Amino acid sequence: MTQPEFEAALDRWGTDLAHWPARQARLAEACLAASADARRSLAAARSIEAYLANLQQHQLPAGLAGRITSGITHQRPDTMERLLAWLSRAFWRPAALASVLLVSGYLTGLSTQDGPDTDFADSTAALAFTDLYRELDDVEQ
Amino acid sequence: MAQVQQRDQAAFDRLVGRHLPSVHRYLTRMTGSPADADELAQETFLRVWQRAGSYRPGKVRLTTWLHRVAHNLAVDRLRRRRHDVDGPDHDSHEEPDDPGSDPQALAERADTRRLLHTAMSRLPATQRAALLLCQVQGFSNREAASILAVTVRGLESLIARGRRSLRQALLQAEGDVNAATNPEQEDSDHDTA
Repeated sequence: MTQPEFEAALDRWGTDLAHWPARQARLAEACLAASADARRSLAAARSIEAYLANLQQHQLPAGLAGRITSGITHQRPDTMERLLAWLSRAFWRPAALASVLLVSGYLTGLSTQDGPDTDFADSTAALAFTDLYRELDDVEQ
Repeated sequence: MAQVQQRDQAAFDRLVGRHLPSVHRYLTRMTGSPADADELAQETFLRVWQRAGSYRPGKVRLTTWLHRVAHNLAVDRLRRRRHDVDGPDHDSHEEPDDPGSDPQALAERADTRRLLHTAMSRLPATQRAALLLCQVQGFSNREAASILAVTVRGLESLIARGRRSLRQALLQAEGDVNAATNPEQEDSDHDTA
């Protein structure tokens, strides 16, 4: 196993040779016995693992959880969010909303429906008699 | 979470208590700024409250979903900053040293930690996130890949590249120190190798 191969395996499987595939682990052990560079790479990789493990220690700022939860209490959900929450609480609610929309749509349609367009009828009649009016004007002149 | 979806404030308080430490730690390590981590943690949980309905319990674990929200916010923040943070402002938290240790060993360990700290902050955000999610936050490769929206193979590549960059930074610094303190020894090491 060459130094680049050893380092690639180190990056892939970590510093514990017990977690490596058996054949690769045997080759790595031979490499470590023969090469100071390989031993340095392994030591560096162990330092990195120790550093990363150390990052697990973390101090949460005092009062942050309280600030978050009190901030949420004062946050009113937007209209769409409230509507979705209301709808999701019971099966009948989406059905009721759909019925209301259907009925209101029907009523809106009824209320906006006009009779025959009288303006249109008048203008059509005027067009039909245009030539007649012109002839009458000519006769009078 | 089902209770949070029903707008149960007490359930939300419990959810924050349970998951905030982990989410805050991830945000602190990702952004390198405790102040940013505070703000982004608040934003994360605000979004959870507002969009609780979009969480599908059988699909991903709640902690995975939370970290995905937090990760996206962190990446947005880093993108807005246009450069990665660096130096002493990056994560002021340091672990306590063992008081019984040899002073020289302590100094060397502190130097190594500082060096890795800087190297970590200079990693591309996705490599840093991959290392943090798998080696600090304790996610499986599959979960971490889901958080980062990459394939498992892509995640493994990110981890390997991140480790390599950190190792190279460490070996480079050690080489520089050796060369500065004992140039003759360094030369003879190369001769024998």
